Amino acid sequence: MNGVDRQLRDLLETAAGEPPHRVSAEAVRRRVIRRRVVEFAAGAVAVAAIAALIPVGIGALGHAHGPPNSGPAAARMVTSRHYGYTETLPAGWRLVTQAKRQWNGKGAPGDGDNVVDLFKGPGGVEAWVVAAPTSKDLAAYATRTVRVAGAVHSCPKVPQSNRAITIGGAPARVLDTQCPAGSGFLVEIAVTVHHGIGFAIGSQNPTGITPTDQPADRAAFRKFLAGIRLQR
Amino acid sequence: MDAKADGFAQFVEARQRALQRTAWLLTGDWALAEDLVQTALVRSWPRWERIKRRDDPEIYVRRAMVNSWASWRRRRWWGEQAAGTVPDSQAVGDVATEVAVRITVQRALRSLPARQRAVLVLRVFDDLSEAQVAQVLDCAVGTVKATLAHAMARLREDPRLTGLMDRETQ
Repeated sequence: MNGVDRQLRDLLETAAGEPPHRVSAEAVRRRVIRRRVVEFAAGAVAVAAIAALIPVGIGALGHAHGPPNSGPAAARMVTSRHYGYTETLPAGWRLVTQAKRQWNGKGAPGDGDNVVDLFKGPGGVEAWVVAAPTSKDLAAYATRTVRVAGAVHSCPKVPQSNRAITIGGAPARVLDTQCPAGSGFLVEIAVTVHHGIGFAIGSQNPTGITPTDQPADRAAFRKFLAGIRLQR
Repeated sequence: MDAKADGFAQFVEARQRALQRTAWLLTGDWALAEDLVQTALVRSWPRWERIKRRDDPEIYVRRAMVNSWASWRRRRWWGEQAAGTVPDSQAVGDVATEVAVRITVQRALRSLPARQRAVLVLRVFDDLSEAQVAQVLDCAVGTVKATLAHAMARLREDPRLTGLMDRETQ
């Protein structure tokens, strides 16, 4: 740095002075939450607007009567390419993407990883599925899942709840947690072990984060889990 | 508090002042500077673990800050205004001098194109290396050097700024 640079730097130092307020991590975290709420609200408004416009558009095209009533939606079944299960999609659920490659059983893949089968459900809730061979029993597999999720996604070491359910008739556990810890972002992880294959099925709602959404998200995830059939 | 939240809070605690000062030199307004720093941190927080593993958090946050600032400028939801009259440079007292310096420097910075201003602030004020500035701005080191040279040449033509620099050396 030459003399002119140094002089200029001194002037910049003097000019910048002292910030009048501090920026805290807590304020940033609150803003993340507000931003997600706003995004969720904006999404809901957009969906409502589209829903309102569709009949108008259909009318304008001369198809005011709409499509013929097909009765209850036909059940749609997804067969996982990599993980040996089928999912009968409940109403409001759809497959977003199949895993691009098989999970190696390490780490705790999230919804953005290419080893997960990713599904979207009502209200923006999502579920993702991975599976890999394991020598552990269900209890040990659940413990391992919590431990790794804590290390990778900053989830708490102990889940908020740990309940027994069944997945495809197999004993399973569903773990409720918040990732990161204390953030208020609900993440549910269902685990089961079937014929030496450990399944981890995660769920979260990246759009709606208010506590009032959580019962609806939980219910949607239960319906999703009820649609799973384990092969073999 | 978990490790991620803890690490992030420590980073914010340690770096918020420096980040806000850089943001002020970019925006010229403390409220906008605070908003800019928060915006950059909001963008960084969800990816914090990944940033720490793969990147230098300082560089990442500064990149988010400069990119946010550039996008604000494109959207023009806050219009930059030329500084009003500059106080008489003979104003007496430390406070008056400081105010005069602040306004003169801010006006000189505003006379620079955004890219030149960002390079100047990051290289001269934040003392980042040319390679680090290139990383923040996602450009070649040669581009940083050339942009900085243009910015410095332009500032040397500003009589008020050079007047202040001369006064500092006397």
